Amino acid sequence: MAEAGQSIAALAAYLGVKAGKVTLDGRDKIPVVKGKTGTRRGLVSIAKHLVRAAEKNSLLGKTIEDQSAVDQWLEYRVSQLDSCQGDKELTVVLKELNTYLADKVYIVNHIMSLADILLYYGLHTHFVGMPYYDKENYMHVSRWFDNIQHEEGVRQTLPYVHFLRTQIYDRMSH
Amino acid sequence: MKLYTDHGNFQTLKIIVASEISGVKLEIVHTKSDEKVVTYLSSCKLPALEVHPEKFLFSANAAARYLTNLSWKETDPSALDQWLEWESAVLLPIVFPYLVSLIGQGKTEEHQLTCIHGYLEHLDTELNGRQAFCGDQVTVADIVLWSSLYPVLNGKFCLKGWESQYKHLQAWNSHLANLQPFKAAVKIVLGDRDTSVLKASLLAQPVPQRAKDVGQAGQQRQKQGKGAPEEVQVNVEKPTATDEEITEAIAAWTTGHSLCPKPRIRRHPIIPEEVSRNILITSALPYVNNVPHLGNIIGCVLSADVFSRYCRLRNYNCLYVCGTDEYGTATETKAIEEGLTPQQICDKYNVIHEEIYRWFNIDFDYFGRTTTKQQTEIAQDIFWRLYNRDLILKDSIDQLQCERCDRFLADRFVEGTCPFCAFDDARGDQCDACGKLINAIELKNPKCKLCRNSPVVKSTQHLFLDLPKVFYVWFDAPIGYISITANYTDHWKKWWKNPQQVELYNFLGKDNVPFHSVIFPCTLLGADDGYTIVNHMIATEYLNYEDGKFSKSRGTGVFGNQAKDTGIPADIYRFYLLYIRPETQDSSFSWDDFLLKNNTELLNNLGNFINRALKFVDSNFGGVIQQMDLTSDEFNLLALINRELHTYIENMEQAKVLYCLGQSYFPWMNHMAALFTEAKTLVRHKAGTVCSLCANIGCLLSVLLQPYMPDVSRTIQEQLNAPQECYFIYKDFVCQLLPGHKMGKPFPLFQKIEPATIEELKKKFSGQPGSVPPKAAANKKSQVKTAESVGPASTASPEEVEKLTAEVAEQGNKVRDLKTNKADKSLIAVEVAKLLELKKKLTLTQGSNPKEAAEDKDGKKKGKKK
Repeated sequence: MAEAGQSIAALAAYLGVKAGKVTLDGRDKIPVVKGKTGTRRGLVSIAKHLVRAAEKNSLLGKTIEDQSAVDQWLEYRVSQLDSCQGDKELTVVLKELNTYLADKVYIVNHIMSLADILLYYGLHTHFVGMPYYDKENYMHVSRWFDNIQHEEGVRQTLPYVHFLRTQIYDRMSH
Repeated sequence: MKLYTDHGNFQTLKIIVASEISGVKLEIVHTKSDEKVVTYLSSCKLPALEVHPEKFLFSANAAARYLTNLSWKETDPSALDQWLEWESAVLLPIVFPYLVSLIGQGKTEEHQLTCIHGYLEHLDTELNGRQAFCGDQVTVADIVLWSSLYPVLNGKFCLKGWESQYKHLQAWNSHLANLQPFKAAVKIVLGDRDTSVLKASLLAQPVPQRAKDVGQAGQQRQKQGKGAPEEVQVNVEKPTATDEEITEAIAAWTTGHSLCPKPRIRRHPIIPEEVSRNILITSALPYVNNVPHLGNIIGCVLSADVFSRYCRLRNYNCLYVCGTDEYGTATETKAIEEGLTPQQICDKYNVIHEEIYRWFNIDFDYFGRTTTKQQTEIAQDIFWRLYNRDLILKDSIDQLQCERCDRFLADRFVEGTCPFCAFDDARGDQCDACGKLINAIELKNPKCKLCRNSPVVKSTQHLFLDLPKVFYVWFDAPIGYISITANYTDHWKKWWKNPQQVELYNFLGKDNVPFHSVIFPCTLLGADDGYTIVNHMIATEYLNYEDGKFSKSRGTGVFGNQAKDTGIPADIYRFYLLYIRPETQDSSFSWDDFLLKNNTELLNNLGNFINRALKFVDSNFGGVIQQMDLTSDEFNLLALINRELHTYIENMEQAKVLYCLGQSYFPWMNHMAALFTEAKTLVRHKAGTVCSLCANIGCLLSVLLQPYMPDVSRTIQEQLNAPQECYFIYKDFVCQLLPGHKMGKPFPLFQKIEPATIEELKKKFSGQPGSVPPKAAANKKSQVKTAESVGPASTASPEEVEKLTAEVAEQGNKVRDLKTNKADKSLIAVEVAKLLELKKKLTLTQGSNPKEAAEDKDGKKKGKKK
């Protein structure tokens, strides 16, 4: 999974820790990282491990409740977003997130978490080259996305994605 | 806490076991399988744990972990992460469809069985020598795995003979099955029945999917990039106008034509008039030392052009001036770089600028320059007035001096690291990255721009405006607006010393805001001479190129004179640049989007509509406008058009040019297209009405489009054979083409742009970062450009140019070799001098222009090479 590898590399750079080499498990086709303290399997597990290694545990949620919510959205990244086979599935994910984010700044509570970061990395490839029409259509995801890409250090080497603040499409007529 | 679940959902086992363990009492709410509980999800995914009212955990794993953590402390969270992730990402996407086939449809598939055996074997190995998956204690990992495997390992549908194959797993399974929480959960989910009760839920719930593999990921990305907006369908409700709007629309349609004044004839010089609305428009003066790129063009000259064209269409008395800013140290830097005198540089680039703007159809009333005697006179007059009013202070300031070049360094001759944002290529006056103003001595690691030596700080005397900023180029640059007007007309004071009658609009990029909002107005106020001060300032943000920056030195992006060579008409560039105008936020020029906008908005919408309407009138009615007997449907349309027209005018009055373009024009296209499609099926008389109305709408559109696409507008007008009087924007839609009017011949307005062309252009303008040192690249580039843009005026033969180019290249290599081999400095200096001389010859050979030639005749300047 090329994208999982990129997400891990970018996250490690953001956290200022070493990720080690990401390989693909032969049978389960999930990313694997072999480190001194053991082998970690799965995008979410590797990501959470890196966060703990960097001692930035607040990214995993401060309360038990927030931690579970972060876990849920990390699972969503892998099970819903990464499993999209085409535009149809992706549209579902974008719609869900758009509705969910309508009254939110961050995915969980009022602070950036690992869920924001990994969903941002996962969505990035879809946002690059997305026509302004769609960006405007998924306005809340776009707002959230733009916010996350401006969080210091999160973007790393990913290309900057442009958003217009002015609406240019009339919703009624297209 | 409430747990929402449908009947017989085996995933609910996870949550109930966890709640039994933690002792949290759950209120179980049974819903139908297709009932939506979590409103933002599009599927009816269950179970869902309501942690707080309206706050759900829709992931059973996350919910189970949440509940267990209320009473347990995790000893190895990383191990739990991995088991939970494996269960949800790998195991369940196989087990779930397996159970759907088995329990739901009564069949099994071979590959599913193979996979499941593989997983069971893996789990069996993991349990070798252990009671549970994470140590010997039961954890949420066991709960989750046990629940998902329950129907596979237990009950009516269990896998035959698995117990003997996987001994460790068997021990683990029966151990857990006998624990109270697990027993209780099974009882709640299954009741007293067997696993066939899971059938309804299995068939209703969304099937978990595996994350896609690498190959699919690549295809996916490609597919997504082509997602065109037309594919998205939104139901359009037919909007209706109010009775009042309709009454007004009918009145305007029937009598408006006679109320429209005749368009004002543009007679130079344009001077303010008592009775008119006098509008003075300035566009930030482009600096003379560079070829403008698309970002510079949309930044001010094009935006101001749209506004000034609109003003003329409203019969305002409007004057639009601009010109090249030629003073300052950047000219000197550029002159040294190209081996020319500053005057030669100015003459050369002034012509280049003028040509580019002409190609883009920028309709200045006057395009001048700042190196004129009027500039000197006015700037000195303002200076002395300020000086005599004690508004100019003398103060000493620390300045940088380059000891090697033996000169004080003007701000622009210093480069270094920005003290505010640490951008490493900031200039001494301003940082390009954060836009903040800098005092050169604040720069970190300052370097002399010429010799890269580190300068030293010395104290010198300077003049200050009584403002906290040093007195320098920004004192006199905006005065250029005044002096350029003075070059245009001797009556310039009627514009510039007439604040009662003149409204001044400044168009500029965001980096120039402080100078136009503080320094220039303060200068004029301080001069106390009745100057016209800015009333409206219209600034844009930056335009990027394909997600990067335009870069002259790297050859990235489209620069003014290259746009012409792409063969795409200027109007298309104008349209697209205005469409993406960085009005409130930086935006970017993208070729893909460019193609999309041309092929959809212009070709499919606008072009198609007008062409169809005109063709219909042409082929069915001999190109003659028919009697129009409008009914309530058309009156409603007229009123809706007026609504859009009012929005257009309202926004244009505030110089919000982007808004007008996006919101106002294209929405009606749909109403009209719908109306128009009906026309073919109508009786002849009705068809004549509809088509003639559409032709009139086309006429209105051609006028409203004129500020954006003047050539297209003119073409439509020619096809309509529209009278000259219609070039006026009246407040309502009026009938301009009366029955009996004979139209011209219609032909398509726009050309389709092919993806292959766009790919070529993308490649051409992507630049090659790092292949050549920036400075050498810049030189090469500007020479090539000169050859293109001043081509016809050049007197030198191509062979001569080619010969000189080869010589320059050769000499350049020689210098580079010497430098790489660390040769003696004096030797390098000699060779560099030779190189500069050659370059100068080359530039002069290519860059001869009429102005320079004229000056040659007067003997003011040395002759150029024959």
